[in-house]
Amino acid sequence: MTASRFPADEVAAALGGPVALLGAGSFGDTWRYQDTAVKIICADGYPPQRLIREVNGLTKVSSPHVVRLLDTRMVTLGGKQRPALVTEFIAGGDVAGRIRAGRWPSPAEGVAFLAGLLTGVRDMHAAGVVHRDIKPANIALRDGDWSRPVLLDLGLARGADEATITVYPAQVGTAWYMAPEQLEGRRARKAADLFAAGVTVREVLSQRHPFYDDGANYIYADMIGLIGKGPQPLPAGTPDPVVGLLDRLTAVPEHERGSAPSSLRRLGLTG
Amino acid sequence: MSNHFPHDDEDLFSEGLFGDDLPGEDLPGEDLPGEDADEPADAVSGSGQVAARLPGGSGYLIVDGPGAGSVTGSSAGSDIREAAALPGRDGALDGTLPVLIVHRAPHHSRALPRLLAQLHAAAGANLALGVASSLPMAAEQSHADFNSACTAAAVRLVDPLGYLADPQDLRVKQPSPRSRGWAPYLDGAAFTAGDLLNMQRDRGANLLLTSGRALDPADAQASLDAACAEGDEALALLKPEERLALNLTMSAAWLTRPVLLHALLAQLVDQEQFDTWHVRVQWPGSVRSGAQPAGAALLAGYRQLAEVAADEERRLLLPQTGLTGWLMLAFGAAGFGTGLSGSYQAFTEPAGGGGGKPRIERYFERQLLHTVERTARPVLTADPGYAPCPCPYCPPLFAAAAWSHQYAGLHYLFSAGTLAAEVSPAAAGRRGTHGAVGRKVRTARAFADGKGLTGNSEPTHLRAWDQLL
Repeated sequence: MTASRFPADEVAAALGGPVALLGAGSFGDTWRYQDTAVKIICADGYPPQRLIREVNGLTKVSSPHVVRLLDTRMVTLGGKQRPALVTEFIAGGDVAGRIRAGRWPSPAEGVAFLAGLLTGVRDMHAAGVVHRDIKPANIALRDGDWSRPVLLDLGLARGADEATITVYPAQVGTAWYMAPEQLEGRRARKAADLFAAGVTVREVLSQRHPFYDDGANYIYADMIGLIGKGPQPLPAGTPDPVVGLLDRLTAVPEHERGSAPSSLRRLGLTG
Repeated sequence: MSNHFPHDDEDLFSEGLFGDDLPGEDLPGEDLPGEDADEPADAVSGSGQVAARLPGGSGYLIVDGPGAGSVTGSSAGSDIREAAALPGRDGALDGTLPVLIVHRAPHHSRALPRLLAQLHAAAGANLALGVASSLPMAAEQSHADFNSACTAAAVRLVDPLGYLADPQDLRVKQPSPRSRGWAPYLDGAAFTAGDLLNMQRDRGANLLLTSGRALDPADAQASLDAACAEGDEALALLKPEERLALNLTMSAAWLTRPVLLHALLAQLVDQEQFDTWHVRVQWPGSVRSGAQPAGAALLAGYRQLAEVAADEERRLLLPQTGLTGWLMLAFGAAGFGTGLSGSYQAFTEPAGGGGGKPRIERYFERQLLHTVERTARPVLTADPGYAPCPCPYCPPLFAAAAWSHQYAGLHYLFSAGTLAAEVSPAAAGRRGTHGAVGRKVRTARAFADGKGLTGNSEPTHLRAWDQLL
């Protein structure tokens, strides 16, 4: 894990009690403090719009599959006031950690993970929020249960109805989970979240990325080409409806991915 | 109730099929349904009346027999039989019933309330009905009277036809100064989304529409975004219990060119707030009046649109599509629109000329799923498998010495409605609407085989339909 920007004892003093580092991102560190996760924005140049978006996104959504925002506050670190988001702490770690540790879900757990993830995406989209950066590191497993995924880090989230502040063409998100339209620098809409969810679920079911080789370097054009060739097949024994749904979710044309509600219906669940 | 609509409405389209735009050819007695000796024979009940309970239980509509089309307080009369209750707007749009939307043409619209009532009597609980008027076609009171008279219509649309202001994107006949007076937004007058909704409310609409400006294929995404932004503004202005359909108008290129079709479908899927899509596609001028488009790309585009709508549980209404819209019920369209005249059965690029040509006597052959010239009928009726039409308009049509284009048109509308009812999920059986439509198309192909039909009478679309299914 990358080192934190500020020492734990300074953060503990600022927050008022013992802390444990949960993760260090590009712009800030996330600490566990009591039963909460506190994301402290450390980078001086952090775009305020991005923070506002995350707060707006989290405020709009109410779902057991999307992390719950508890508070926003200012924290003094390094002699400066820094904004912080306080969310519920999801015990159980994230999917990226599971992948690194080689702790894969059983086929049944993988299907339950897909259903939970789609439920979170549905609830987020219903609130008018597009995540735009769904990936294993942004999905926690509540109590370590694959059937209870929780979407984290809405820092790139955008209101589906709000005028974008991103100047296109520009890539927004994490390249390995980006939909082809994002790689092309076009707007990421709800379909991009569904693509990323589909890639993530395929990855944990197949124990490999569906489009890219581990450790390889690609330029965006190569990645678009590989997506166009189609994903790696899913393991034998994966139920047909799940194969069909995951093929749809990772399709190149946006409309073929459908919506989260229609995807849930394909799993036999209420959309 | 008598149905008196002013006869000074404006024809926005130029082509006729069953003799529209022919003042003086009104049906005898159509103003007073049920009180004229010349009115069509009863379809269902013989001399007795049949009544259907109105939505909300506030009375009954006489749907068959004397007085069909009029409202009564109860069905307690000794000779009144009760038909299936009329669905309300939301019942009609819940996805369980096909919706036939009858477009109001500028002339002969007084016959429509009775036609709708009789269709309900014939189709029962297997069909929902709607009416659509063109807002720039008539004055406010005329629209309001028409909608008020169409009691059997669960869905009532007053379409702004905003695309008339977009001649750069669609080939359209320019509206007259009088039409522009009724629809000043077409002249670029400052109009808000709220103004447009109010105009529809005042005219009796119960499913409100966005303006329907034409989508620009040269700037596809911006054009789609603008249409949805207008829709969002309108949604925010809806009153409780009101409902809105996103109203899109486009050239055929939007369904035939993959890049445009994908942009359209991606936008519609993404914008989950719009649960009803009202999509009008302009067909090429090469599609003859009374015919259906047979181009594989256009039909495949329609099919994808309908399938996506069904998959996403949105309601797709296809105005001005006639039997092509009926075909799309097989793939998930919720409803289609058609009318007495050819221009309301198909939204085609206006053809040049045509003035002064003799009127052709045509008849919709429901067994053939096609309109043929009257002169071609003997070869069909001579077939031992020919089934005479049971609609109430055929007896007077064939009894009279002179051909009545209006009766022929009403027969067509009645047939379109019963065809839709026959493929409804409830009537279609185990194989569903898709299977039922497929059976009808294959039967029609077999019936046409060996008849030597040519020209306008040849059902060239059936092969393309069969392949699509």
